[in-house]
Amino acid sequence: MQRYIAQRGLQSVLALWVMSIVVFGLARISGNPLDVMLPLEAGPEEYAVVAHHWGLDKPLYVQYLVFVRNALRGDFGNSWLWQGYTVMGLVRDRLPATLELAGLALAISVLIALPIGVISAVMKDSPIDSVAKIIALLGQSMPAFWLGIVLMWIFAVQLGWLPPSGRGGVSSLLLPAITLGWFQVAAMMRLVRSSMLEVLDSEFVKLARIKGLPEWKVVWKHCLRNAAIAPLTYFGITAGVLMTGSVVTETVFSWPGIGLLIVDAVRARDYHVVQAVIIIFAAIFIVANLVVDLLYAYLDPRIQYQ
Amino acid sequence: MARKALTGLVMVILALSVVYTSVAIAAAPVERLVFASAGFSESNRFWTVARPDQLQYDPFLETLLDLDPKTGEVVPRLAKRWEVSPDAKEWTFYLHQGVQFHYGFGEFTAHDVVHSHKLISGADARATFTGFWRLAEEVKALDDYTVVFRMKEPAVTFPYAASRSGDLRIVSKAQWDKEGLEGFDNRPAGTGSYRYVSRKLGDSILYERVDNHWRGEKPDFKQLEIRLAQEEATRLAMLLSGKAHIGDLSRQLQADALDKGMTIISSQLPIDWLSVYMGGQYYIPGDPQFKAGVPWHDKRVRQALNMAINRAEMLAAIFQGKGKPVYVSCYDPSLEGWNPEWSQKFEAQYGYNPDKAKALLKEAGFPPGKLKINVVSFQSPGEEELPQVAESLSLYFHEVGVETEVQVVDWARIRGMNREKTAHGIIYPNIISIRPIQEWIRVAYYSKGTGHIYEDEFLETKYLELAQTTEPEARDKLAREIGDHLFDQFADIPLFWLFNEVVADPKVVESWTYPGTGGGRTTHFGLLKAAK
Repeated sequence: MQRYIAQRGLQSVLALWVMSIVVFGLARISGNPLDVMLPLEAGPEEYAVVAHHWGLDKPLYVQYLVFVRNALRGDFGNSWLWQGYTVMGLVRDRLPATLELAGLALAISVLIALPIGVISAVMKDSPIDSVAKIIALLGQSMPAFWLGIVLMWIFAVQLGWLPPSGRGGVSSLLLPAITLGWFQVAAMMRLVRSSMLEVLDSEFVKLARIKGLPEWKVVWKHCLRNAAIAPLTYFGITAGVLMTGSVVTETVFSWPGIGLLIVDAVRARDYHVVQAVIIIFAAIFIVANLVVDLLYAYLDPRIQYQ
Repeated sequence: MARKALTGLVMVILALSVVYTSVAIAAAPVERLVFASAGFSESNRFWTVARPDQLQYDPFLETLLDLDPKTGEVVPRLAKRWEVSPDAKEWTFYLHQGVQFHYGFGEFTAHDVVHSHKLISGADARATFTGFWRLAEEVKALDDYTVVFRMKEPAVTFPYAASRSGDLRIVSKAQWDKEGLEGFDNRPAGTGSYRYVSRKLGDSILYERVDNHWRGEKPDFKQLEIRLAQEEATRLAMLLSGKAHIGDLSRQLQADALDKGMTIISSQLPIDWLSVYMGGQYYIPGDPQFKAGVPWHDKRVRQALNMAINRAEMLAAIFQGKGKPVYVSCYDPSLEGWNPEWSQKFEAQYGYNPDKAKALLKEAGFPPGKLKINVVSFQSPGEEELPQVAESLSLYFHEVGVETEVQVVDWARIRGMNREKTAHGIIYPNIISIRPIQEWIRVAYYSKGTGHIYEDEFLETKYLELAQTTEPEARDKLAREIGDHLFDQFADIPLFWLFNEVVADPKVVESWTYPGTGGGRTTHFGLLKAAK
């Protein structure tokens, strides 16, 4: 297991390095950030002064080496758009908002998807199962920005129960969290349902019933544990998707998290922020999947990592 | 019986409480006015922020000169008067005395002007007029209340740059000396009728009213919060739910807001003009970037494209009929060079006439179906209509036999093509803020500018002459000659002047007088009047 973890660690470092090259290159292909940041009045002299100030007049390989050297020290430089703020300062400032949003969205999706998925599988082809299928269909076909605006309209404008935007307290978190988590509810519910259906037909389940175990124990303890592998895989991806997928939700609700940060940074071609956030997102995905892989071994002792 | 009576009494008391509370809530004046903004570059370093993002400084950082909120005329502010040398290279400002900076940083003096100028002309500065401010050879405090700017060349547009339309925000040298850049970033001290309180990145900025403003100004609202929301549906929701009291909204959504009882507050003056530009017009002989074969190098094609457009219909459909015609880009009766003849000649030369447009195209060698052009557009918060303008151009051009491909790209790509003079074959609409004529000509028509919209020898010569001329009549004549040339050459497709409009809750905001030509479009926040 330790060897496995070490191997995965090395693979992660390699993946991050490749990601750094890709994001560095793609950012620069998108064009000159000075065309966004400098006003229309700026002449060639202003371009030259600012380019020199930001090091953009250096060869690309020099810029990359400076970027990597600093990144290894956790220093992604200063933001060009948010003057006066370092990139890591911005990330530290905005990350808690996204974690808060993603965390609640994940909790909502698990708390809703898990029981509905299980019940829907146990009561297959019943009206409850039909309702669950409709929820799944709606959840996976409704675009997040549309859902967000509809929820905002109903609960903030018409009913006045919740604020329409901004961050401030639990009430402001609900609408964006539901918007962000809704797609995952649908996806996770379908996964739980299909995994449970497979497991419910197993021999050991029949044996458990013959032995007289209460049905709730058969379903919630024995079946669910065995059915959890597939949803768990998705859970790992979900954690990353919720972080990165917060872009649309944060924009709609003006939620000041990483998603909104990167939208603004991309628009302004703030290379430093874009590079840092993408690498951080990549790291989150890698760590999340590693944790999920390790959890497999715990859930299913038959899984052995070489 | 007694129980019933008691229950009834309790119900009455509860009902009265609800009514009283509702009335009390409805009657309570709003202390914190919330402005829902489409967004801007967030930083307290005003020298790194271009117009119109300067709106975030308007409540608390003042300038040497101001704009009259009704007429837009340049008037004194921190400077009570100014003098200019005959060659317009030396500008002397006489400052008000007794003006105090916020947070106890002492009196405003000429040394603060020198300090502020250093910031806006420094190596990291990239404000709108940074290039202009760098033309100062010397900025000197002659005494505590007199400061002189000595410029490298005639600076006729100095008052504009030093006014609220510009960006020389006056900040405290004493704060800088004591707290440094970090202190300034944390809580910049100004002299405005509001002072800066705090900023939450991506969320909001908060200001609070100053009770002893040097000019005796006292805004109606104790606190002002500018809250950021890029999505306009979100801004509409904020307004309708009462979480914002005033805000930016595109014209499409203004109708929804009006239906729900909101009101529109317009700038006093038109502030932006919308024109359509035809790329690749580099006509100075020997220009290596000139590329033959661009269809609108033929003046007849340029005229035809103008005559293909039904401006009145476009204005009604996209801008709800709110706008005035532009005859020559940037030229307005309030600016130098205005020629009233343009309005009389416009219909004959530019007016909607698809038959004449087809005839001109045919004459130029482009019968129906022969000409295909790329119409590119971009979208940015606060300027949501441009893609619709591009689509409508496509429809109008199709009617006269010109096929188009419409692409929505980001502004930086179009700007890069203009800067590198590779914009051959593209047409794009753009909304640009009003500015002095000389500034616009430098940016758009002078070969050493960065716009490169239309260049030829005539414009090159006339601009250089204008830049060295200080006598107002002579300047007006030169600017008119340039305008006449642009008009006759069909240099672009002028469309409309647009006012800045914000949507407000009339139960909270009664009125707001602002010119619109300030550096932040919405300015003079201290003049927001609370509803009674």
